[in-house]
Amino acid sequence: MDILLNLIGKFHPLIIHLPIGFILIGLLIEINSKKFKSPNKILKFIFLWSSITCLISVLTGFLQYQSEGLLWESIQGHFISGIITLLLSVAFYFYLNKSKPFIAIPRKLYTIGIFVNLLITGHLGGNITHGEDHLIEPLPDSVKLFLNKDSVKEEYTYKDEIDINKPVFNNLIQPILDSKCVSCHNSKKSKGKLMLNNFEVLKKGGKNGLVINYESPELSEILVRIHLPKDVKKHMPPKAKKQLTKAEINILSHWINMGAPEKTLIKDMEMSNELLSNFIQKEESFFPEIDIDTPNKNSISFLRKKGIHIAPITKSSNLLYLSSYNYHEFIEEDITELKKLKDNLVDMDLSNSSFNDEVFDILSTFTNLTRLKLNYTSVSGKGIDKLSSLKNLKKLHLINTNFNSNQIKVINSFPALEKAYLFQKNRDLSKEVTLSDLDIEKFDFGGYTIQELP
Amino acid sequence: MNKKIKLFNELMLKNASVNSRRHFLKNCTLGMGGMAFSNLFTNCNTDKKSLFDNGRSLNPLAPISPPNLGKVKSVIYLHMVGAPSQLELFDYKPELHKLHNKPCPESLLKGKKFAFIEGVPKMLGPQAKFKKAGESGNWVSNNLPYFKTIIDEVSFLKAVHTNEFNHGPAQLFMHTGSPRLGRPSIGSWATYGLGSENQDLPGFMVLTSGGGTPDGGKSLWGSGFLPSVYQGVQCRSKGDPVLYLSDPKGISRNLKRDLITSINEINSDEYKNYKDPEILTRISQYEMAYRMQIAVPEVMNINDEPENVKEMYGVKPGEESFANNCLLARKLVSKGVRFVQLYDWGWDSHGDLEETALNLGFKTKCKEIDRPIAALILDLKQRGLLDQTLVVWGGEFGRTPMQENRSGVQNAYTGRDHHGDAFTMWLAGGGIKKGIVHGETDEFGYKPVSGKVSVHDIQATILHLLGFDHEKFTYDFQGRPFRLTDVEGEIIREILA
Repeated sequence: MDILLNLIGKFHPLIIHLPIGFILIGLLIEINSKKFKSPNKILKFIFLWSSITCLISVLTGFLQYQSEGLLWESIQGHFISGIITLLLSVAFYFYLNKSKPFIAIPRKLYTIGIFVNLLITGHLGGNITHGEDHLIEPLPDSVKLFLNKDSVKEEYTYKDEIDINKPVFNNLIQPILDSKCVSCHNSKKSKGKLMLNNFEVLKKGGKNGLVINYESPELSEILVRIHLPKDVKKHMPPKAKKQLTKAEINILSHWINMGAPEKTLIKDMEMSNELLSNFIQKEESFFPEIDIDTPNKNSISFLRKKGIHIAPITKSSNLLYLSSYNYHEFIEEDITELKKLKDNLVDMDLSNSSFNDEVFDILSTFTNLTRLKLNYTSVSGKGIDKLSSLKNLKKLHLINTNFNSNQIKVINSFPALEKAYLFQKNRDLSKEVTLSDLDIEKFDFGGYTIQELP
Repeated sequence: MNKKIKLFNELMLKNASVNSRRHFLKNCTLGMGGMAFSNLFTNCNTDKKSLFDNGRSLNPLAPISPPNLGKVKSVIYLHMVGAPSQLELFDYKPELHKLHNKPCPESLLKGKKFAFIEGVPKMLGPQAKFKKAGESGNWVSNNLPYFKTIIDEVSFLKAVHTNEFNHGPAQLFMHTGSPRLGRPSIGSWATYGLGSENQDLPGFMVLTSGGGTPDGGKSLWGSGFLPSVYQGVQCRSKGDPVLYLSDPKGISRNLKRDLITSINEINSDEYKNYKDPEILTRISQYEMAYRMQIAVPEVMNINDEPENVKEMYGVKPGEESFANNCLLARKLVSKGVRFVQLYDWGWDSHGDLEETALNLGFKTKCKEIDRPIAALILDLKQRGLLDQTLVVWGGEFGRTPMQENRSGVQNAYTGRDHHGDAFTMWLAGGGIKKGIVHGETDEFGYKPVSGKVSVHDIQATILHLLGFDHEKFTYDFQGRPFRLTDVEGEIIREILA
């Protein structure tokens, strides 16, 4: 019997189109009633059938609600307005039959009422099957913002740090579920009758029973599904959706192994540092992470016209990269424009350029400069101490220059320096300095050779 | 005179009868509707902005910023055409020794199809001696003695798998993400997405060695459905680096300049009318060729390199060699070329001929690449280029642990058949961990045991290192967006620093 009811319920989306059709044709005839000899007769027939099919729709709708794990909150609007449509259709039928109480109400109230109700019911029904934002989604983001809908989707990002003094579920597990599972397993749309949007519903499980197996945690349905091969139909999340990362899976299985608690603090979960740090995966950025004003557009277009390549380091960044592949002879006006971008320039490749030791004076105010290449220039290093004020300078390339070995000690004291490349074509700078005075890790003198084999 | 007027009138009349109001109403209304609908319903636009609208204006190779912060600016991809044997280079399987010359266990053959092996072949033990090398203690065979110097710079992928076991499709798969023709190669994607910083050189350059061209043909560096300006430019290391680049006799450079300017003016007018990206390609190719006339001979000339560098690579000036190409790759990358693709032919070690025997021809091939690769990595390192360059080494698939028996008869020399289930590739350079081994094969090197990665995974990783999200980096073609990694590919985070 259940199966049969279930099956009948499935026909709801089909059957509802019958009363819609009947009502619309009825309303059309009502508007054009002058074209018919006896419109009331036709209308009576039509609204009798609209009432009958309306009733069937309501019944099948109820069956579907019963069998498909929908929540009352999400369907109540549709359900109530559907019943109102049914009642109005029946009432209008009796009105046309000139039955007593109904005849007192003006005809227009019926027709308009039915029409408006039909629209509301249809729209709310659509919201259930296609999701609430199905009308808004295709609109451009600007319109969405205007409508103040938060359906402008944002990628979930984990916080930089996890507060280990907080309960594990809400601060570690729920965010994972939110980002990868909840879009299909929530109070409105609960596929497989499973909801994962909070701890209580997760514990309840779904159509196939509990998702967490407390006795043998490894066999928990939720973990089994995640670990199935992607091509297997039961694999979760479905193949086309965003998959859990390894770090997320590790955290999730650790949590289940520990008995899937809710309120236990993260620090009491016996999680290794590795487990957590892999999860946050905060990559240290090479370039400074600072808020900086948009660079001066005029300077950029001026330099670009000259053939200097200058562009943001990523599409949405205000930090700039510059290279002189196509332009070598920098003159006074170029330098003036460069200086206007001093806060934005973080990566500069001035190889093969005409710059001399005066470059250090110019660059000493480029506070965010992180990588500087001066390969194949004639710099000797005089005045390079001016760069020691650059708190971000990490890489310094001085290959095939006239670099003076006396200046190497100065480079050694740069605060942020990670590597200085000092390979020279015909001389070996490492032989001209006392290596023990230097942090040798920070220098690459090059001159590698390959040991001849016998 | 009269006749002329008559003829003219007749022409006017003809024209008038063709373009009459009746004709328009009768025949054109549906036609107009059809044209409008064809544009509404079937155009290729999936509402994504084309890169051409993105400030590139008339220069399709203008450099643009990556969406994410990439770890590398350039890629050098060393492809060993024919698929080198992982079992004689990096994947050490002592167990296989014990089965040497014994018939292959049935479990390995069940349900398997091979390119040449038929019936029950014999197992073939490792045809090389292995040693742990470097601080990482990773295995490498005595076929690659010089590789030891750089082994700590490299991350191995020991369980790469591919679906293709024939050269052409497998090579296409490796480079374009699809075993069939028509997709752009990875270098084309990179130049399409990032452009070329050096406006005098193409963003994607191809060098071949080994005496043959890859079975997959020039489509391996083709631009597929991308505008053809993004295809790889093949350079020869012998003779003129680029064919037909030098001016014909009697044409001065000034005359050439005037000619190109006029042609390009006409072409830009044409572009304004038709907006066909191929016209842009044409314009920029003329300009590029003009600039390349000076830039290419300069960059392709390895004679000016210092003697010790030439010796390090073991270059042979004037010849076509892998060593020359490695040195050229370093030069190109230091000039800002985005993607340098090297193909070395001759790795198809079936053992049917002396050249393809694992104990003969294969060893010669190893000698040809061993020293240049070590030199390339060291040279990139000392020039501060290695942390912004990605070096990828691999073939299109691997080789079987069985000895090949073509048509059921054991081959004359020792050799192995094509095998796509598990083989070794390595990556080195910017954003890559040093001295890591990811993935493991079973005791015969036949199947992956852990850390299995696919061709799309490798491509996703390369794009990631260049600053792309491989799932968002798409191009609209035939009504849908296309990706290099199709609908697959996961970044191999285990080898990322």
